[in-house]
Amino acid sequence: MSITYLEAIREAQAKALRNDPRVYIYGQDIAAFGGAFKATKNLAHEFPGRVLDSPISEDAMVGSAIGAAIEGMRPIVEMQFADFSSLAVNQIVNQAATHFWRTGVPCSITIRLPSGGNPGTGPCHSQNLESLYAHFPGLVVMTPGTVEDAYFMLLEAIDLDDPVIFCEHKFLYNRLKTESLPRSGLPTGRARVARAGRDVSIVAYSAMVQEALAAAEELRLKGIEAEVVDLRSVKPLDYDTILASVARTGRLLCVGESWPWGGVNAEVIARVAGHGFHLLDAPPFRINARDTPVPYHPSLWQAHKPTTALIVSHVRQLLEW
Amino acid sequence: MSNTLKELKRDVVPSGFQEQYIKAFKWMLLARTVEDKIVSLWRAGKIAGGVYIGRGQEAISVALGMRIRPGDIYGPLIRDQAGRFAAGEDVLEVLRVYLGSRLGVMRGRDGNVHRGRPREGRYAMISHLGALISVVAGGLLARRLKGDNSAIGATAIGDGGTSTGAFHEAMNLAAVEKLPLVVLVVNNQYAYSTPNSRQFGCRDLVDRAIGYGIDGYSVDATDLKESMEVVNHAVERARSGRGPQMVVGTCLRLSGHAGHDDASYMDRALLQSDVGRDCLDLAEAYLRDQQWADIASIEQWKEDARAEIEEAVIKVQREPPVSPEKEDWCAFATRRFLDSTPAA
Amino acid sequence: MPKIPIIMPQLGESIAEATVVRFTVKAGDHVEVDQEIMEVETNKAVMGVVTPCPGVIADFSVQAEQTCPVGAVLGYVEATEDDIRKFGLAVEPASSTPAAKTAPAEPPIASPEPDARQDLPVPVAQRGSSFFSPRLRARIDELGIQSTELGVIPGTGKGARVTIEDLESYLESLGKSPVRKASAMRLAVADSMRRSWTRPLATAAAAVCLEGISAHRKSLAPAPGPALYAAKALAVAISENPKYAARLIGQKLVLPGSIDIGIAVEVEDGVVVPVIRELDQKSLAQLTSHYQKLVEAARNRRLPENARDSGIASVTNYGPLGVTWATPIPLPTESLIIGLGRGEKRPVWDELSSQFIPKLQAELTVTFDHRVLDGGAVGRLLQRLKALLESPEDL
Repeated sequence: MSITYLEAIREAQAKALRNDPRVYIYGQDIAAFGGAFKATKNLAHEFPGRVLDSPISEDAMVGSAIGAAIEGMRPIVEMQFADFSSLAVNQIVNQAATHFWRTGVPCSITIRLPSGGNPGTGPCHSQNLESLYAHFPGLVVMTPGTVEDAYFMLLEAIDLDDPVIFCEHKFLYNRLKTESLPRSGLPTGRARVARAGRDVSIVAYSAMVQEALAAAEELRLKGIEAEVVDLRSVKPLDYDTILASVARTGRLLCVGESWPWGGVNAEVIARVAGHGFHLLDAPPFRINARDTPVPYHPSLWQAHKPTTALIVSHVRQLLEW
Repeated sequence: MSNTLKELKRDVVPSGFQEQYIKAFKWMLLARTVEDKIVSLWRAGKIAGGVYIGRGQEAISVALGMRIRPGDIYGPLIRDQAGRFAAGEDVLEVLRVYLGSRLGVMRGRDGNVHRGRPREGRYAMISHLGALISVVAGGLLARRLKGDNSAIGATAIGDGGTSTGAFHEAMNLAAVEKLPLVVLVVNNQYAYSTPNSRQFGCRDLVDRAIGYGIDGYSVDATDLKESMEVVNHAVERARSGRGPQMVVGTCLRLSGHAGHDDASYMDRALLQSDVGRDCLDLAEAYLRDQQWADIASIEQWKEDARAEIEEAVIKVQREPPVSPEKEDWCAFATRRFLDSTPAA
Repeated sequence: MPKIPIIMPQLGESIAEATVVRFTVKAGDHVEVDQEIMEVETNKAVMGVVTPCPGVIADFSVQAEQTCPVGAVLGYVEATEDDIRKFGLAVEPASSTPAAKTAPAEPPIASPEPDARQDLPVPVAQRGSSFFSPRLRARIDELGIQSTELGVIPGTGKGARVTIEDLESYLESLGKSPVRKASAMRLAVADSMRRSWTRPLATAAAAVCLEGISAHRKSLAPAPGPALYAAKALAVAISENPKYAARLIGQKLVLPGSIDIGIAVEVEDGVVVPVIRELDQKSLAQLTSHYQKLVEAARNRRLPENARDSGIASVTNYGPLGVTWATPIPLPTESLIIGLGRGEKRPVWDELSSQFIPKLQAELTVTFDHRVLDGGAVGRLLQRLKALLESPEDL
């Protein structure tokens, strides 16, 4: 029996609904319809009154979740696409993220963002916004890259008192599978060494972890052993694990699917340059998506984001530096 | 729209109303006095940031604030000092936040009208108008999910705030969810320097209630008695499960937008008209008219208010100020997420 | 017709760039194979640049007095397809994209500046063997190793760069030998010699007859040793010509003030060079007693302060150690050191008697900073020293 990344997300929500009466889910088309991607399939039936269809009002969806959290609930807000969360940016970054800081009352909401694209989804259904939200103080930003993390981290997100932006990657929904769901996992804030190596540290997250692992396999055939670090959450970032990896390899390549200016890759590199300068044999490199909106046509889309081949070529340049 | 005012006979005063009216008047007076003090402290450079006062709309604000019961949710906005007092805020708490005392409830992290005590049902606003309404709505939704239908949510907004998308989404969501939410829309004719003619296209803001499918009322917000009656009515309807209620009060902002605004753009004619009457003066006149209080008592109340505030100012100014050394600079409730290495 | 680039050639080992002097042809001229088309000047010589193939000069991309790096495009010559094939030439100019970039999609960001000169044998930019990464620096700091010591380690990194792995395996290979901590004296001498060696040092020598000194010293009590005679001779020579002890700092020559000369003394695990101030003003008799005290003090590590400060030149006498000839190294703050070897009887040809006569002789060597002095000056110095040492009554 295998479980997909999407099913793991559904399972986690079911478990949370089952075990914690404070949990409910609010989103568009999530009740009887089960959600645009079926992330809440059957949940409205199994947990009547806890899985609610909202109007197309991202601002009010998040605002109401904030109020519910103040009253002790643990709402999950499903954005139909990460791209639509921009309608709720004010509520997310100015109310939810700041509530604990301003008032001492934590805002325990989880906002699920179906992120990343598939061929043909285009500029408004393909965005990766982790870098945007990570920028604002007070938000936890999770970017699970495995089925196990999709499950375990969503459960932890719901459990955390802080507001969590849960960036689940649509490309992984049905493509990643695992045999069984974990009972335990690393706590949020800890990165995972997905593959040990000695020649280069590839720091990646979300869908890019799979690309990095594929690249590492290709590199292995060329005698290059790449270490792959899966960040799991981009806020908080596990600087210790990253620095320890760079200490082992002396070379860093950051791979992320969001846009180049600023963002997760830039943050990791700034930290390593500041705190780990003495560990570096070569300047740190990064690969981002191109600095344009995500294209619609599949062949352009394919060329817009970082790929296995690009990772391999960057590693080779890094080693030849 | 149902202007259920027709159902109320203005000359019928329910029992206990006199007592309520006097209480309301005293809160209005306290609000006016403390805000005058706040403005002068601000002018003396003792208050940081902007100061926003509710001069001219104390009546409508107190009318809602005094209907808040323990367990209700209240989200006051920038000109609701009277309502805040009526809902239980005390003078010391107000001044502590404004004067930057370390004992202030916001710990210096936010200030002035952005203060609140969310756990006690007093939600803290942010500057983005309209954003608080869905939060109050969400609080009510949570109560319902917990099986508690005893509370109402109350919040206020100005004519300008109703133009925001946030307002629209929140009202619509509250209507869809049929929440016991009372929204006070105070049309004081100006949003900063913007008159109504540049703010909305509909005939009257109360017409929006039709669009949302909720009850809406108009009231002369300069008149404390009318304000109390209409707001009471709206609150009762909310408590009895009739869904969201919108009360649109009309008055005039008797100040600039904030301390730094001289309001020279305001139409002087409005000040001379009925809408420009001072609700506090009118209420005082009404009290004397009804012989519920004489001039001497009213003067005494004014003096009491002044003294209470003076004393509070002195006390608060003696308290230690907010200090950066005492700040933990942690925006996360989960302490272990605090960044131990400063950003490179 | 296709255009072939004319590239600045590699004009000699360690040449990185050259300056255009003049053009011997102009655009439109027809050129034959190996015809010189321009002259460029390096720091060694003026050399000619030839056309890569026959054809017609299309244009030059540089002007006279312009300095260009090796590998730069200087101009173009139009050639026929036949000639291009015959001479095995590429039409594209020296590519600015290194071969390493073979990714299907152009890398979007953060690739290093492509360097057209990367494939050349000589590292032009600060790369290759002279580059130490932060990681390597941190490691050698940790180990107390100087970056100059890395030169002895074979480097397997790019451009013969010593990598951290090279360093670690080198250190590991030493691990099997017994290890002792170096004394402070040893480290001090090591540091001094390392710093001195950063200059181009050369040595010249002359044989000196010691018979005069042997006789002269009997007339003094206590008798001065040969080192003192050498020091006095050096003091006289420098006072006559201060340039012998000049130092080059940047673009300036710093001339000696007072003639302070150091004399090397062997101490436990090292050497100390006490300095005698204004040695030219002191008589041999004064020098002897002064020097004996200094030697005693040096061996006890109790040198007075004025003897510890730098001098302008030094003398070392290794004759007593049995060394006939050596190339001593001056102190880092001095441009000059003279060394005196062991005196031995040698057959010296005597013109007058037409035979070899045994004479007591020793090799006198001068090691000098070749940036300051050349062979000519040093030869003259040696001759002067020899003359003074062979007529010690003049000292």
